[in-house]
Amino acid sequence: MAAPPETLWVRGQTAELARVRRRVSAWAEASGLPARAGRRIQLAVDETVANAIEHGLGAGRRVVVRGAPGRGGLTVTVRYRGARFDPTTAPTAPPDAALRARAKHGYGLHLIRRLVDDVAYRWDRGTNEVRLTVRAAPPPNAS
Amino acid sequence: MSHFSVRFDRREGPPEAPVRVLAPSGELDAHTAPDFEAALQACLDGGDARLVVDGAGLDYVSSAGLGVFMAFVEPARTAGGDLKIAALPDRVFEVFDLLGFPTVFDMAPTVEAAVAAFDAR
Repeated sequence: MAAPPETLWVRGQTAELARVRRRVSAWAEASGLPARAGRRIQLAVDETVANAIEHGLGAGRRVVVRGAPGRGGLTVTVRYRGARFDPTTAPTAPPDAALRARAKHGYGLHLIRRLVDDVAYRWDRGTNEVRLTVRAAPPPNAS
Repeated sequence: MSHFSVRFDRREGPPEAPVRVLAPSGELDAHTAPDFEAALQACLDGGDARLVVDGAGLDYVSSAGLGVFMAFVEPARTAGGDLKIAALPDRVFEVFDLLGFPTVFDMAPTVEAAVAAFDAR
């Protein structure tokens, strides 16, 4: 199964996150992803959009979330104009150190990096683009 | 909108050393985390540091929600209590487990077990 790509325009308010999650869940279903894989990309997208809304998004701007359900998995692209922020390289304390320090923040980046099979970042003339992919079947060497 | 509410009017355990039970329900995300934070703060402000979160009604948690749990565990312990987590559905526990939260929090299968663990120390 697959479905045509779909684009969501998300206002810079955390109240929008639930709507984003509903759409990602529908895209995951259209991709034929197992439920657990669907939850993984749903959470990774939530964390990415929440980061944009809370930290980087320019005033009055929107986050553009595009889902491309395919036969082999689901790719969701999050684009927004604002402060440059690369979740693949942004410094963050390792989880065990964060836990020992009882850190209240920083877990979202670890979730983004761990939950999906591929996360790619691109900075394009003032626009952040984060591309998250979960595959329907794990790669041959994955445990 | 995310559906979320939290009840925290229940007390369990012995009357001389009660355990306050918080029951969040729905989706705990960056939008709803402040409500959960306010409930935990109200418990501490009211002198209750022996706290159990009954997670059975939680459908979802993101890092914002995890951060609230982390913010209150040491204040509860410093005040002579603890913040224990009970009855999380598997799909929510997965997220706690992925980041190693069970090494910090006492996590119990049921509220009853979590309440009993306060007096088993």
